[in-house]
Amino acid sequence: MGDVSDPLGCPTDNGQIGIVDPEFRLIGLHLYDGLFKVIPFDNKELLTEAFDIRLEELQVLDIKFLYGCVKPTIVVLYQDNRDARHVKTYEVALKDKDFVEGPWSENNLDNGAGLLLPVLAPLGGVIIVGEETIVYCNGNSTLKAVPIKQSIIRAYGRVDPDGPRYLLGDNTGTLHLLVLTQEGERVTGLKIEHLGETSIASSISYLHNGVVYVGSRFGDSQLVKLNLLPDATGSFVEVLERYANLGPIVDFCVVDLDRQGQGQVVTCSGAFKDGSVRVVRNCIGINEQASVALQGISGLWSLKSSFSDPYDMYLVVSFISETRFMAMNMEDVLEETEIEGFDAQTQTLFCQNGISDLLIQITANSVRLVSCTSRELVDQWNAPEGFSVNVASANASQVLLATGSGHVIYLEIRDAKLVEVKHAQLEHDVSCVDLNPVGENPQYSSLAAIGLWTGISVSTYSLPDLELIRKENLGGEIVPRSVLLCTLEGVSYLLCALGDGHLFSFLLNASTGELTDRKKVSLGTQPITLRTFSSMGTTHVFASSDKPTVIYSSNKKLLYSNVNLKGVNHMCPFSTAAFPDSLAIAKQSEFSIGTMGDIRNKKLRTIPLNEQPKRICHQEQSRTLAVSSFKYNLDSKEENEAHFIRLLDHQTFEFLFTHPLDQHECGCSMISCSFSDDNKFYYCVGTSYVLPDEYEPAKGRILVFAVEDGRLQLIVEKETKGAVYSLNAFNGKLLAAINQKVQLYKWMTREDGLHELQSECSHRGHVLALCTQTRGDFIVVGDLMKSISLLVYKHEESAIEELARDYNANWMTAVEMIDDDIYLGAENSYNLFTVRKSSDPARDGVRGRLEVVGEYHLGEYVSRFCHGSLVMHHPDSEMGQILTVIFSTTNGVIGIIASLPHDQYVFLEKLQATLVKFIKGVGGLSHEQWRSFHNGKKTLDARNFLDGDLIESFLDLNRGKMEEVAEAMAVQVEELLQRVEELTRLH
Amino acid sequence: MWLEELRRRERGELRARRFEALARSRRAASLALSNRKEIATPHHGAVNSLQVDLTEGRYLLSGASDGSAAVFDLKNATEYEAGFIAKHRSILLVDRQHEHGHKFVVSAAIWYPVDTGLFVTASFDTYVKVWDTNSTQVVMDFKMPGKVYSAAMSPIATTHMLIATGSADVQVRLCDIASGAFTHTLSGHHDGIMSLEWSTSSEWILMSGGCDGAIRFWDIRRAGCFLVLDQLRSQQGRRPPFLDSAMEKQDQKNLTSSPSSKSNSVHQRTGSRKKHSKALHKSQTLIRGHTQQRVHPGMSSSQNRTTAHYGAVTGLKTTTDGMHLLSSGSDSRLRIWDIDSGCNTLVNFEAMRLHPRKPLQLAVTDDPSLVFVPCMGSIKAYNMWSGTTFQTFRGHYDHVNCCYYNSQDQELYTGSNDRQILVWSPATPALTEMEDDDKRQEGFAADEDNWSD
Repeated sequence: MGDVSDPLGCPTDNGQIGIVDPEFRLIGLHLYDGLFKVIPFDNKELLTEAFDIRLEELQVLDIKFLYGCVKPTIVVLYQDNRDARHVKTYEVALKDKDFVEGPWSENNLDNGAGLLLPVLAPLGGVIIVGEETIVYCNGNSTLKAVPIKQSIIRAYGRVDPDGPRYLLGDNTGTLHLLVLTQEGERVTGLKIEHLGETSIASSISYLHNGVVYVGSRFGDSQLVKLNLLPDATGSFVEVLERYANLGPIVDFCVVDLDRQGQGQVVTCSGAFKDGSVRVVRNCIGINEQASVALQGISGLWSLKSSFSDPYDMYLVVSFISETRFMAMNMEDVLEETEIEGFDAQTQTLFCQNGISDLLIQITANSVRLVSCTSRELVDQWNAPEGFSVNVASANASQVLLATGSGHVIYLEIRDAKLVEVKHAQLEHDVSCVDLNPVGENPQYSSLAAIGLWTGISVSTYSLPDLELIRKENLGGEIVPRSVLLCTLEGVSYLLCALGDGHLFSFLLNASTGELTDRKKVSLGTQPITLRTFSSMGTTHVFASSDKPTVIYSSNKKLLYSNVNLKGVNHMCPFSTAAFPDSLAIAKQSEFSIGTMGDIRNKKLRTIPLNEQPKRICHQEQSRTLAVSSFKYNLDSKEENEAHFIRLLDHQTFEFLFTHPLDQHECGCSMISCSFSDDNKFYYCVGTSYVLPDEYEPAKGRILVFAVEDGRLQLIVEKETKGAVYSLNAFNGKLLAAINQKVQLYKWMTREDGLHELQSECSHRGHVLALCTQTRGDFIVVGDLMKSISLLVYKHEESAIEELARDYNANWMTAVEMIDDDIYLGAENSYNLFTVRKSSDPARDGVRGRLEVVGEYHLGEYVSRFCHGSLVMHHPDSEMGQILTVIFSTTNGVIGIIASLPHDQYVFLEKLQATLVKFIKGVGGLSHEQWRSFHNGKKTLDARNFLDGDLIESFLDLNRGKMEEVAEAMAVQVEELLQRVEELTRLH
Repeated sequence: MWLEELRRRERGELRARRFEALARSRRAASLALSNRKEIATPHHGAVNSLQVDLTEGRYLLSGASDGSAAVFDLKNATEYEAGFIAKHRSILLVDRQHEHGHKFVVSAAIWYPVDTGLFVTASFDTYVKVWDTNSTQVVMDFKMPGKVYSAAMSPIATTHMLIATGSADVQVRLCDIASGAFTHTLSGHHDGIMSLEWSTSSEWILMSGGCDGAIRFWDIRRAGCFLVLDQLRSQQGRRPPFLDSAMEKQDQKNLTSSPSSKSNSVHQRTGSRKKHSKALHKSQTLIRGHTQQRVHPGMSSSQNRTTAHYGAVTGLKTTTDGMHLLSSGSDSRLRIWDIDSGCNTLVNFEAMRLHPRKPLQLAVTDDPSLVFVPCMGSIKAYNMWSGTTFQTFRGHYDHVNCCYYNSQDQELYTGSNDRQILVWSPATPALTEMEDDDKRQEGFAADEDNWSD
């Protein structure tokens, strides 16, 4: 192992090149301008000492080894001072440690030549891929060229292990096949054939049998099959599979559509034609294993073959006018069966296994007890004349029924007989009941929960005497549709779901029935049905509705997580020996059985745009998203772009409206805000006119839109003298970063009732104010190349002044204010850093200095920061106090930066330092070195940042290793586990 | 177009480093007399030397003919004229009034490369003085045999603290700050030494340009100079085609015993390449050192008279990557040398007139794409590789002596006989128009007019 870095070298403009001689004599590296580093192999195929060879060509575009050469020979594609491109060959003389002029060279190639494809022996030579021509050349015969439609070929893949066919992928996502026609060992010509469309390829690997992997940086990677015959559209390409790629994420916003406190990240992903809007959220995946089309299911229950059987046997499926029964047969196949004692001719309201091996079925007019073994009716209770059961619930030994006019009947199963114990009349009709046991006895509940139609309340009653314990008025006009008593992680809750998708949760005192700690969340918009189920030994609650949700408890806190299903009407656990922990799910017109995935998982939804999104913004008030996007127009002769502001529905992501921007105008920034003295919310869009011959944009606009009837209505248009790089809502005004300055606009209402933006004050002195963030009266500006500066707005003087700045020369890419004093920045060399505002106010006339407090190498280009979280936080929980910032990167990474309390930081830092000794990085690279802040000029150790990924990898260690780590830390393994798990709950 | 490039960077099409390089070179290409920043010099004589500190890139040190040296804070303006023209006054001044001040011309003022706690001034009063920046006291001085023309410290040295000084005397002297004594005298030049430059790739390599027209390379760990640049030796044929190379080798074998310049140059070529691979090539260097000694012990061979310029070498500057050396001569020529091979790259710079008798301080952009050369009353920017004039900066009223390019902010500072230090910063074309909405336009435009031409 060795280090090939050179602190002095000027890193190559066109990317690093690393190539291996086809005969394994040496590795060639082109890392710095003018130098070609050679690492020779010795006869034992081990690497020996590296050396540098001077390469006189400064602007190298590509270097490849040639095949079939006696001595290792490279071919160099380079550009000279006059921007002409040439190729040249060199032989590497390993003994002399120098180049020897190679066998041939070729001058003045296609101006767009950018890729070399070495051709295998015996043909040898190289294919030079340009923008307009592809040329084959090998020095001893004339050039063979083929013209192509103008495009930039970005990737190639060799089809045959020895043959002359190559796949080429260009910048428009078109796949071509290049064939060298040959006569013996001579190339006679080139042929190019259009195959079809894929994602814009960054790499192409021909696998086998016509199957090709197309890796893409700009869209999803694909597995495609090349067919022998074209399909109807003339394409030979058939996409077999797609592999999601979020990158490049140029912008994102965090939205909380359901107001559950759980964010979803909506990203602007992809580039060019592969652009898309993607929604990333924490949700639970259900893997459907079997499904059938089945309509009109009104209820689902599972039954065991005997009370003590751990697995379910029967599945009861109720319809409006009949009930059907299914059972697992010996071959583990679900087939329809009959339970003789049950009433199959009517709708079932409830089913349950009862004590003494009974099955309980409740229908509108009877309650039946059926023996598990004989499947025959044992006992029956009939509803009184003129009454029918509306809602019912049961547990192993108790049944609670509600008939019309508020009558409630309580039955108990005693010696395989139904005994009516109590009858009561409540003041209103009952809408839902539950008597799931939450006390110590799992077969008997001393509490019942009842929801009422009128009066909108939920109450707890004591059993068996049906005495009211506590009544909670829910307010509003929406009826409770489902109520559930449950115990999660030893804590009892009463959950009550309304007809509009809201859910109330109460802490329940299981012995007294008292309700405390009322909370309300929204899970969907349709009525919810609650049901408990267990997965991997723990109990969770499933809320079936248009947006099914799993309610689970973590650290004795209720957490809500969405499920990757839509519109579930009913659900019941159906755990059989063959398929443990399965769930039976009834949707509108489908019945399926599936298993639940890991409770913590991120799910992705893609909304393809076929154009590149650039900025995105959410407006809760109008329930819309606005996206600024653009489309390359490749059809016309001139390459031009068309830019749009598009309005999308925030739930369905349907396009509602499109506002085209002017010619050459491009959207640069976008926010949703309201202004002082105006309670309406507006979309503000900052744009810039990009003229091809202009060095710096000199003109832009700020457009203010209101959403009216699903349309964008242009309210105000303000011209600016430059590109509007960033917009922020600021004290009821609008703060815009325009080229070198930061400008504040007031929102004015004119006499005629129209609005306008009036400039109030500005601050100059930036090279390019690229990103701004505000908090109170403070503004932080991330400059293109001059790090972070802090500005303050002075109300009395109506002026913006600079308070302090960081004097380092950091080239900023994104900035965020973590709190009032700490600001987070991301810079161009893929580092993160934090600066702190000094506590003592700046002395008069002397600008303060922002002190750099944290530094860290992330290794990713951060495109944006945003406060928010992907998991649901409850303000009362300990973790809820931790501020988190989400960031997105060009590689498609979404990450979280959390600001930890000091003692936790100290503890985890110690853990990190310990873990480094136990967990070795890939290739044995030092973690410390990788995470050091490095920007080409200086390298500083990482400080005040922790690597969460490393710390969480503690959980992947085996028990023995964990104990070693714990010993080195001098703490208990359990404590360590608990603290690391706590950390994982942040994301 | 910034916007397009920002967009390409955002979607990962343009590598972040490349973006930075592009932005830098674009800004460097748009330099113009700054309408935002002024440096108010306290000097009463020509400004001879300019340097920004290497640690923070914040403090500009200037040396002037009235025997004074001053420091300016480039990041914090002392005052704002008309509200937006930043005026930078000196925050430190040592002049003849100072008890230890130089009596005559300060020819060079340089920062201690490691921090801003020390700086060094060299003067025609034959003294080189080391100053403590905070107390503005002389902590050390060195008496030279003649007028001191130049002083240089290695920007990358970690094991020595040597000031290389060139004076009217023929020897280069190395002053050690650590001991306060001369450690080396490097003999070889036949005349005074106008310019000195440490290598940016090896802390042991020093390059000196003399009034005798020679540029000599010294490895301070061993005696004698190991390379004298020859303006007639070009890179042509350096890498012979494959077929001829075998023959060439044969030639070499025959020639190694005889101390001909040809064989010598071959050795140098292979030897001096070690600079980029530190320790692993030490052995090789040593071997070369021996051959060198044998082949070229004293400076008696024909090489001793080789010249890099006709007339004096007035300025030297290495590129940041340490691969090329720029030299200016009283023959009004600018040459680029390949340091590795010692070859003249034969870049033909367009006609210029250089001051023949004064040391000139050249500047190069980081990439390196542009060379800034003081050409009498103006400063010319040349394209490094084509030699064409890129731009001519006019603003000084008298001969310009020195340029310093601040690559961090892409600003050029120039010092002249008219006692001014001018700041040339990237132009912001939109700026003038942006001023429209403020009423400061008039005064500002007037200012600009005053400066141009």
